[in-house]
Amino acid sequence: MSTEPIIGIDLGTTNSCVAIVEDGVPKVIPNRAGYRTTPSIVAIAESGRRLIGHIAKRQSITNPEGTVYASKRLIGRKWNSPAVAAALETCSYKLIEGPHHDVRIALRDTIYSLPEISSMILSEMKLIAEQYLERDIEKCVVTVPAYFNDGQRQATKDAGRIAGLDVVRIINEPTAASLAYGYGKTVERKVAVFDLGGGTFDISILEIGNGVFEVMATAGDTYLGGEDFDNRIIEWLVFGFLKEHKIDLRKDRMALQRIRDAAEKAKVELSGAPQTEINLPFIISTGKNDALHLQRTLTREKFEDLVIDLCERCLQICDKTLKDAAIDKSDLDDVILVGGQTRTPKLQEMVREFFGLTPSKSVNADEVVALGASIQGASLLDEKSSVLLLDVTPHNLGIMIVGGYFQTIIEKNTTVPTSAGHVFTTVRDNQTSVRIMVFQGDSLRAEENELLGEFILSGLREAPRGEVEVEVTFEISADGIVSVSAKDLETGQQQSITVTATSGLTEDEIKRMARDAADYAVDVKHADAFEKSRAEVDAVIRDVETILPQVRGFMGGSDFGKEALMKAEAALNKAKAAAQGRSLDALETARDPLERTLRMLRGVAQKMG
Amino acid sequence: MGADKDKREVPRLRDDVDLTKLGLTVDEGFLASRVDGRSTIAEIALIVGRPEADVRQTIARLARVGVVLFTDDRPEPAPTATVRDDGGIDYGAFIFPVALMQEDVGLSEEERKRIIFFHTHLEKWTHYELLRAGRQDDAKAIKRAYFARSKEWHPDRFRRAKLGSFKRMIDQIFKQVQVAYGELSNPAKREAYDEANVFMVGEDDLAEMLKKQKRKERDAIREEERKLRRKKKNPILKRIGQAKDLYERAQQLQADGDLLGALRAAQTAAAFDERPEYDELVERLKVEAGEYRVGPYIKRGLARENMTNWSEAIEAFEEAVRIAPENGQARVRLAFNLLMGRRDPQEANPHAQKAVQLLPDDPEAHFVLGLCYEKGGMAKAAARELHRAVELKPNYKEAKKRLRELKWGF
Repeated sequence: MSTEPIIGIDLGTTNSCVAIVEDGVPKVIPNRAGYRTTPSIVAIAESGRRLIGHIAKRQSITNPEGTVYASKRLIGRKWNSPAVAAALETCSYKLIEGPHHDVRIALRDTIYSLPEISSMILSEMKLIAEQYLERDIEKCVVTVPAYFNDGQRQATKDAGRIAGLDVVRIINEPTAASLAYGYGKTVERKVAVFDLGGGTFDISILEIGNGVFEVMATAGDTYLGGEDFDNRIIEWLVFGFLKEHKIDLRKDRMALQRIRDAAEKAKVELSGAPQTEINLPFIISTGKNDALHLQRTLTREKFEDLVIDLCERCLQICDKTLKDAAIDKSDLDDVILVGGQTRTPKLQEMVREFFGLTPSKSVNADEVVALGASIQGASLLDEKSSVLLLDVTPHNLGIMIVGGYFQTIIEKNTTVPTSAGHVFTTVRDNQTSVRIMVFQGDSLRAEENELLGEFILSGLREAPRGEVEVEVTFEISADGIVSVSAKDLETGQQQSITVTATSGLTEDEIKRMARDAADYAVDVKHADAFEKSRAEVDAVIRDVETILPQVRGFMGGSDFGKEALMKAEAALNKAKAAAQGRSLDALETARDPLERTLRMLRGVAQKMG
Repeated sequence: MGADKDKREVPRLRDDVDLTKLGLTVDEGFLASRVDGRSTIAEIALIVGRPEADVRQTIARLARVGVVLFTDDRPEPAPTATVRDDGGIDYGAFIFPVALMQEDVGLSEEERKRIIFFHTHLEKWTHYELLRAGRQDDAKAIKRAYFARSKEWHPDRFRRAKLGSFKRMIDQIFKQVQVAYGELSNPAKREAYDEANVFMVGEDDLAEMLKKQKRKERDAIREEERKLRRKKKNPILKRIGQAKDLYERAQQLQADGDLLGALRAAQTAAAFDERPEYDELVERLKVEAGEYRVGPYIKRGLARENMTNWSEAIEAFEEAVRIAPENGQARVRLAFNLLMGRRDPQEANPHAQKAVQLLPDDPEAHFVLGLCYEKGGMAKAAARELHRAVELKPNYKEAKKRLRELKWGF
């Protein structure tokens, strides 16, 4: 490939997926183990080794404190947000407050920021792509829930930077899904994307026509996802057990981890079966050399009871979104279900009933988002691409005005890039400066929205209030970067900032982390080369070991033969030692003599006939 | 560019050209720096102290490379330039500024031409012309046209390292495409737009002139509307404006005699905007409105007093004093009735004193205060007040009578 490709990464709450467009065809890149998605789980093993993906998931039961899952629910959150409060209750890993009111995770002896944890997953996805494509990858499109705010998006971008990736664009997951759905189709359609992932719910309405994807409306809930469905089963199991045995299993991190796994498994099974057995023997020790088991049957009906309100909440959001955007349900041509949680039969049934449409079966709920991201990546490479995405801002953007009110300047669901201005006046007599505080959110009270940044425009003319006019202009680029400027209409004096939401990390921290991660990437790659080399050397060792006893008798007679045997044994021992060690250099040094020895021994064996 | 001297005397700089990117000589650069959009060429020659012919020549050169324009030559394209149905453009005699065509950016000649052409037409074209949609097109066709233009002009289509001055032009074109679609996709807005942009049939000069005239008028109206909207949208200005309206209304109501209505309006105005004159009006109206409301009570009290129904008269006057503590008449009558009804000078005295304070020239007030002193056994003070009453009203029989009785008392 001549130009550097842009990969698409779906950085999910529970699973991540990477895809690329090759010869015009988007495809998922399987990981080394052959799986098409990789669990978004990061662990630090007792040895200090960093584990990512399936292997991290498998060891999570024995290492609950060292395993981070569902970290996406915390990324870009403030320490005092409800998501963090909820996580503090149910997480098996340890959360602590970071220096910038952000959240940090303590694993073993090291403290990690959330972008760092996400960067580990992104590095893994990068590695998967690099191994498949056999080239370095530096550019990617990463997806986030449509309802992520600027801080969460920024944190995701930071994660990319730490992983050594240039995130050329952040796009919304439902939008990505629609790209994959509509790619290569010439039809004009209006579709709803119903995306219930591991941690978030999004609904987007799009219009597709001739390769243009226009987002008409988008909304969601970043506190609602498949994990909540799991938690309902966990609660049901834990409280049932508490009632029966008066023991709170949540206090035991290992037991909780086992229950979490079992709950997820049960949920998945109930998508296909009418009931499932949850069987966790020896769940907890009662201290007297005796242990209790957790054994229960969960029927689909009971499960639906447990989660019906969650399903209803999704549909309420759908209803509001359609109403806000003045879109009639009957105008929709299709409903696309995205995210593993949409496999729940009850939810599918409710969606069908609500939209009056049978959800489209043409996409794979787990892979569609990554595919869409790769399509967007490819379209950014090719200016003549048949695909164009017209994305929108998910939140109102504005400033705080007198009285602490929020004045919207760019309304949500506005197509980006866009710009808009508004003229404000001074509120006090002889006011010579105004403070422009930029907020994002839907509340009328500024303080209830997210503060993106602030600056001061000073040097205004002294005049009675209401007389000096200041024009505040907002600009959002196609990359979603917000810049704000304020201009004194009289003097033309101007102040502006580019708003970068705080992800909880400073620029220096990101740079340091990126350096550390780069070291680690070298380390990981090196380890892989070592493993490969060792496997090959091991094979030669085995061959030498089988052939050596056969030729010993034949060669032992002569001095020359004795010396050759000694040399062969020395080479063998050296190679064995190197294979036990960790040094690639030593292994490669030992490999050559060993291979010569094998050739020599084979020659002798042939002569023996 | 012809040589119509009258029109071409005042040069101005094109604001979208970066002078530093042009290979100007020091001489040309200096002259360009003197071009301010107000001075004529002759004046500029005076300013720089060089022969006018010389200056004229240099400025003509600056105009050729597209740095300088003359105040009333808008960079209009030749009328023959048209967009073909297939999307290609016949540029006709359209003149492309040399500066832009030579700028060091990663765009092909055709791309530059296209961007410049669209950009210079942005204000001239109607929404339909920009989107290349038909006036009769339905919503679906408009959307299709919008999608097609988005594919041409979305900044994602120009992700190049170097765009220079073109970046802003592309952004503006895409923005205008969105504005056009925003208006044409909303039925109400589209109707309003169509009404404001009635198409002229025929291409003769008259029609063209009428069209221009209409556009000018429309622009003026729009500018006015825009200003109004801007004012309306700004919550602070809106409140200040509302306060002013209410204040004026309060003054009108006051003049009309609806003092209560005026008070309400003035109070709201003062709450919206804390201006001293609003507060003053509220205070003034409070007094006036109090007087106004007190009228019926005084009337009722006087009627009861005439019927010598002292207790009910006291009730009415007490209410009047409560509503309007500064009403002298109410005080006088209350004091009088307290004296008559309850024979209590102690209670009546303060009201009478207040009444004298409020109405120092009212004989009645002095008379009642005199009565209070008399009943309280303070003959001297009583005499003083009664004398004063008689002084103010020489034929005050009642007062004279009391005075005589007081004298007898001695």
